Parts: sequence; C-alpha cells; structure tokens
Amino acid sequence: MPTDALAPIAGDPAAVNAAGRSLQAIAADIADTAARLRALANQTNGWKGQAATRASTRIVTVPPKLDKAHASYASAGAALVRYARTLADVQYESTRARSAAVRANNDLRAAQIARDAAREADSRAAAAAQSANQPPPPPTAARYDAAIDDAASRLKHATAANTAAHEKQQHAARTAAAAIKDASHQGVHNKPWWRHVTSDALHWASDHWAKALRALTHLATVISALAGIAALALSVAGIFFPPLELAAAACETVSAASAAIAMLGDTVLAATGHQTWTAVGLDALAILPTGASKLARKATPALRRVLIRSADDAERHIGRGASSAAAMAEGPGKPAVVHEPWGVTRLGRDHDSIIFAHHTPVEPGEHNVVVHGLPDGWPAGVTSEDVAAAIRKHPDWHEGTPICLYSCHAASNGTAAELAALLDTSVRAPTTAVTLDFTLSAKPILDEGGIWKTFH
Amino acid sequence: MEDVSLGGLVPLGFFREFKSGRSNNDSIRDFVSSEPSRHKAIILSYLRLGDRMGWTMEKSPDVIDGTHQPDSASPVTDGHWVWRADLAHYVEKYNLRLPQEFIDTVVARNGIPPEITPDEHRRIARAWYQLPPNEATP
Repeated sequence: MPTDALAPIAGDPAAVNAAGRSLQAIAADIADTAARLRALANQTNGWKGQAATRASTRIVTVPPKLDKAHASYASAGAALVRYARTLADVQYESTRARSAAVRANNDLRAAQIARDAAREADSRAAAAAQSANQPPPPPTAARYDAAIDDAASRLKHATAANTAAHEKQQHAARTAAAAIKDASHQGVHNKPWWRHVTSDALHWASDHWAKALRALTHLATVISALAGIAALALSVAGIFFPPLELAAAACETVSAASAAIAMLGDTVLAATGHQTWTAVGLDALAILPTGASKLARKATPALRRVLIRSADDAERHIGRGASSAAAMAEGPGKPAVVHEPWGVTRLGRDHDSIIFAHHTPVEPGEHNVVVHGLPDGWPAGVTSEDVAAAIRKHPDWHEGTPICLYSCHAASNGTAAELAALLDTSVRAPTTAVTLDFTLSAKPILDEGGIWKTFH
Repeated sequence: MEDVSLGGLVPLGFFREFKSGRSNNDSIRDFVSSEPSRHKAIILSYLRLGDRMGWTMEKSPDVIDGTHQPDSASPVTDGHWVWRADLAHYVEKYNLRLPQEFIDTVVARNGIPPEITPDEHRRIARAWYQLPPNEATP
C-alpha cells in the first residue's frame, strides 16, 4: 500500500477555530472601543484649552483607524473559522478514505494470498491428475480474480479520495491565507519590530515545517487563549505552511491591534495634556474628565496587558530572551507557576487559566490568583501551601495584599479560607464555578446562586 | 428536556458526577457503553468544534476512574445544545451514549457545527448565563 498517498491531514481544527474566535472577539472589542471614542468625541464636559483641542483631534482621528483594525480582525477571524471547518471536514474525509484503503488493502492481500494458494493447489492437482493420467481439474485460482480486482479498485478510489481531501485542505489553506492577507491590507500596518522577531521562527519553521506543524498547531490552542499578538502569527504560520509569506502578512494584521490600542492610550494621554506614558504614569489617567475617565480605566489595563503580553508571548513562544512573566515549574505533578507582571499569580498553562489571567481586571490594591478549583477542593497535586508559596514569590505581592481568587468553588470548598489563614490576608472567592466570556464582559460569571465571599 | 428559561438551549451531558450548577440527576456510568457509536468520529469532531461560551476555572479529573483528563468544564454550544468541553473525553474514552436527537443533528451536519456569528454568540451566551439581553456586564 502506498503509505505516502495515505498520509493523514495534520492540524487541529478546534485550535484553529479557537484562534479565529479570539480574533473575532478582539474585533468586537475594537468596535466597542471605537464606538466609545466616538461617543467621547461628542462630549465636552466644559473642558477647554490646548490639551482639550489636542485630545479632541486625536479622538476624532482614531476611530477610523480602529474601524480598519476591526475590519482586519473580523476578516482574519472569519477566515480562520472557515478554515477550521474545512479542515475538520477534510480530516474526516481523509480518515474515512484511509480506513477504506486499509480495508481494501487487507482484502487485496487476503485475496492475493488465497489466489496464490489456489494456484499452488491447482498445480498440485494438475500434476496429480497428469500422473494419474486423468484430465486436470478446473483451476480454482481464477475465482479470486474478481475479488482482487474489486479490492484493487477500492484501494485506488480510497487513495484518490485521500489525495482529493489533501488537495481540498491545501486549497482551503490558500484561500484562508489569501483572506488573511487581504485582511492585513484592510488594517493599520504597524511597526515591524516583532515581525522581525518572528521572522527567524518562520524561516526555521519553513525548514522544519512538517515537524513544526504539529507543535505550532498545538501552540495555537494557547495562542488563541492569549490573543497573544506576536504568538498568534506563529499559529497562523503553523496552520498555513508553507505559504509563510502570507502568514507573515497575517502577522501584520494581528499587530494592528497593538497599534490601535497604543493609539488609544496615546489619545487618552493627550486628553490629560501629557505627552508620554513615562511622564505621567498609568495612574495619572484617573484625573481625566468624567467622560474620559471611564474609558481610561477600561483602556489602561488592556493596554498594559497587551503591550506586556505581546513581548512576553513572542519571547516565550519563540524561545528568545527572558520573559517578563516569570514562570517556574513547581515539581512533578504540580502546575507551572507564572507570575504575570500586572499583578496576577497563575498556576497552570492551560487555556482557561491563561484567559482568566489575561482578561480579568486587577482591582487597585488587590492581587489576582488564577488556579483551577473543584467542588471538593484543589485539583490533584495542588495544596493551599503550594498556592500560598506561589503568591509569596510574586515580586509585586506584599504581605497583607488582599487576594482575588479565581478558582471555582473556592469559597465553598474551604480553599479560600485556608489561603486566607496561610497568607494572613483577605481572600475573595466564588462559591460556585466561575466562567469568563470576555466577549460579554471582563467580569466573570458565577453559576446560578453563586456569590463572592471574602475570608479573613 | 428543553429548558425554556435558557432560551431554548438544551444542556447535554451535565451528569451528576460533575457536581456543577447545571448537573442533572443522571449518572454518567449509566451511559457508558462497551460499543462505540458508528458515528463516534464525527460526534467527537462536533463536540470539539462547538463554539466555546467562556472559560471555566474548573478542570476535574476523569469522574469515572480518577485519572487525568485534559479538558475543563467550559460550556460549548452549537446554538441549540450546550455541553461541557470535557464531554468529548468521556465520549472518546467510554463510548458515552448521547441522545439520538443530538446524534441525528451531528450526522446531518457531518460532524461540523453551524457557524455562529459573534452577535449570535453573545445572544446565546446571555441566554445560557441568564443575563439580561441589554445589560453590558453581568
């Protein structure tokens, strides 16, 4: 059987789908921000002067750029979602074809063996008949010819079906890549710094694409959770090998978000009459006029997270340099501890934990802790002492800092109370499962009847 | 059974062993089968390709044998049915039997859930979480 003609179709449709959904969610966020800015532009609140004029100018000019970023993200997200469906479809077709090929091949070999045996039997019977001076009996081998022809035909069709599935996948990949390239043209082109950072990885991947494909499509799962900008480009590269140039174009598309959000931050700063972040610091945003302060509070953590996350994820996933988020493995069977630099201690590298760490706001004066929880306690291998030790190692956590514990059932399974006692501080936690759908809100949702409880 | 309060969404596979807020009284053990469904491959595809309605900080070990399993309790939907992300693990490992109506849907769709737009996603998620339709935040 020609094994190369029966290769499976690589890729993880669920991961690709999740990546597309993340892009669509970002698009929705950008659209929302643009709408808020437009509303803000219509508010004066009596604010006058040079700073007000500059702010007004920037506020008016930013939304059209955000619209472009929105279009980019929405288009790229839709392309990925469509590709995920096609990938799933062709993988299914390929699996069926390969199964049919295996069956046909088995039937073929069995029929060939039977025919060979029959031929030998025919020969022996003919020899025996000849020695007995009798006419040879009718040969039996020919009766297997039809079965052999049938199996060979089925094998041929199955192989062709698998080839067709591969061709469909390649066509879909090209189509999606082209759509993403188009999306990049719709958007705001950004500074190329992290494109340079990613280019090495892309070239490396082009040399090792078959091997890298599996790793990178797996990476897409993490990336989709992060909406990590530079890293997401790698997932696209993993999905659309070998058209790496198109994947690089996708990098530009994705980078538009950081540009857009940076512009938003710049705008908000201009509204304060200041020029740079360093001059005023993030907290200065609180002095904004009424209309802007709400926006600023919303924008600041997002901006901070996105900027840090972009660099961090690019470095972490590409394997370059030191990550701004310290990560350490806590021993066999223990979840990895990650100290996010925006005041979050995360235990675990899974999709859910990453999403929570990156999308839930850190309230002033609090420290967020993200770790899975169960109705009857911590997951296997995790203890309250582990969690407390992980928090203490966070460089920004100080004795007495209150904890917001994003861990399901933590207020009803005893873990929040234990943690409060160990750290001698207050711990706020949910009584039920806690879910975050950041397309709805940055506020996590509790199951019916759930409340937040604080332990001291 | 369809729950009108959930906007027509139908919970799928919320067994009592999961001890979640949506759990019903059915035991997962009663749905374990030694024989896989002939549609198992596309059922798994469908379960894994659904639209995720959020991320949940609950990831339990396999509730039948206590071993590690990779998925969390995050809700996933096709716009009508809602299941936990870890349901696919149990279908794959234990050939879990699912309602015929669901299987018919999966087969009719060849294992590919329908596309859900971001707006539809928000509407469905609000119904599932029982949030007011026009409220910005829960």
